[in-house]
Amino acid sequence: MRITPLVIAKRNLIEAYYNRSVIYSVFFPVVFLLVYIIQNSTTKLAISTQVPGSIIGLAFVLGSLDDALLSISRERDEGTLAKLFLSPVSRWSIIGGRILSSFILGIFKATLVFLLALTNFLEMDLTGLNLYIGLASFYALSSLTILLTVLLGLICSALFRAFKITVLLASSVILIFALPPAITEINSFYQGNPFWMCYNVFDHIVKGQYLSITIVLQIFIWVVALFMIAGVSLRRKIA
Amino acid sequence: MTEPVKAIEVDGLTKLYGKTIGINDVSFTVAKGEILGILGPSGAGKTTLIGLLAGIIGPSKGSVSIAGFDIAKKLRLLRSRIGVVSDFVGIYDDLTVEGNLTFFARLYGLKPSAANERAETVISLLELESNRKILCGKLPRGVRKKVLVAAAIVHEPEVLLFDEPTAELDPHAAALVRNYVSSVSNLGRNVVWTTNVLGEVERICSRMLILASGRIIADDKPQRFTRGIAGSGYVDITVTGLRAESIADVLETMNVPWRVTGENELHLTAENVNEILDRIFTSIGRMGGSILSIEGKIPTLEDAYMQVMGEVKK
Repeated sequence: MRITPLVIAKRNLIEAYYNRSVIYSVFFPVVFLLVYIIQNSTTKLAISTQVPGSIIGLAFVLGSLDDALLSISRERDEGTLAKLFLSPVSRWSIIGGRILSSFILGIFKATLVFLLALTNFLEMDLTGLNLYIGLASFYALSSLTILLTVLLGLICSALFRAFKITVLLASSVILIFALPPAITEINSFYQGNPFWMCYNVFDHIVKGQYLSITIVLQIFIWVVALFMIAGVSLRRKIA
Repeated sequence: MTEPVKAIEVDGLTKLYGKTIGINDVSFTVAKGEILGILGPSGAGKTTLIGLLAGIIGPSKGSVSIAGFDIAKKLRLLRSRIGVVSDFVGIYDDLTVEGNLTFFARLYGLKPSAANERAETVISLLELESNRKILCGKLPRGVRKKVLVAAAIVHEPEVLLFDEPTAELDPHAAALVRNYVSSVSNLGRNVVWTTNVLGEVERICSRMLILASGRIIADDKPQRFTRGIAGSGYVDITVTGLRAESIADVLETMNVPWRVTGENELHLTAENVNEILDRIFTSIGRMGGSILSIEGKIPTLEDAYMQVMGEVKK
């Protein structure tokens, strides 16, 4: 059994522990949520209708992006990526290990942000069976959002050597994907956009609606496509 | 006579960085068990050459074969056979020395127990015992370099590609690395060693290349190269108690070119001055003379290198 991605993921988690990246990356989403809460503190009903999954989703996206961006760029700068490529490890294992560790960290961050959101958005209808379905859906969709973000981040950092360019490019791509649909909610224009789909489903969860198979399928196709592009672009630049 | 087995074969290797030439049409072979030293000024292409041999960077033209396999086609297969120390590769700052070595050993497919065992072996080999639990980000540069070397050899590679491995090392650590390299060479493994320390090449390398502006300008054994370029050594001896000419017979039998430069003065030239001096001193003593003064020069690799580089600059 190939366990190399697990070995790489374990090392990445140790790195996250030492550089405290979890704390730093949760900072922005938490501030974002707090500002939102304070601004709307007088009208709780209004909050519950406006909390769309897009806010929590955006928090995931921004919170997960740093892992993906920092990981490959930093490893390239420090020469550890070249060291990995000098071992018999495949590029798919390297990407797989990075996704796995970013995923675990992302879920951890998502939980922190979600707990904060839950304490303030009391109007969410999550009791009884709905609670379990809601939580399951929440984590499934968080995972997908994180996965998509990490993959986009990996592609950006694999394609460009300079860290600043990578950050700018990835931020722009993510913002194009994420912000306009979150703000404008022009659904028809963003059909097929994976981030919009995730937000939309978050929104549906909050409003008591559930997933559709078409959405899951479309997101799956995006994940696979981005994984392939990330792997190929990493090889093109390193080897 | 059978031809030596070629462990590394480089043919027409060229690397261009835009319009800048990194390596220009370089071809050479390395026989099994050979330690090849690569010399050259900064920017000559030493690091690029190591990167090309390791497959870290791709060539613009030409090919590299290791153990008969083309590195462009069989890189994955060759990775476990190569160990690299270079500016291109690093270690993880957030892992301990032991953690780094175990991690890299595991990437080469070793099970946890075997990886720990190998890590232990190289820690002991490079005397890293007192640093094993320290995060690599907190290590002094010299110790960090030792860990880089340890990480390159943790999987017991057949070919070592070392780019200035002793730079930043203290003399004792540098000697440990040189001893290791000599010992694995005796086991039939290959080493390509770039350095700016000419003494290292004289001490451990069985062959050397000199690179300048990406081209090979010399390819020879260090001693032969020194003699060929810097010529023979010379000694001026002033004797007392006998005339210089009276030791002519002795010098004739040793086939040493000599000339009298004064009543008591001799000038000798020879390829291996050191070897003949003993015999000359004994003869002078037997004839009742003694040496008043001795002055000379035995050419070193540095002399030859400086001469060649001077000509290249011209």
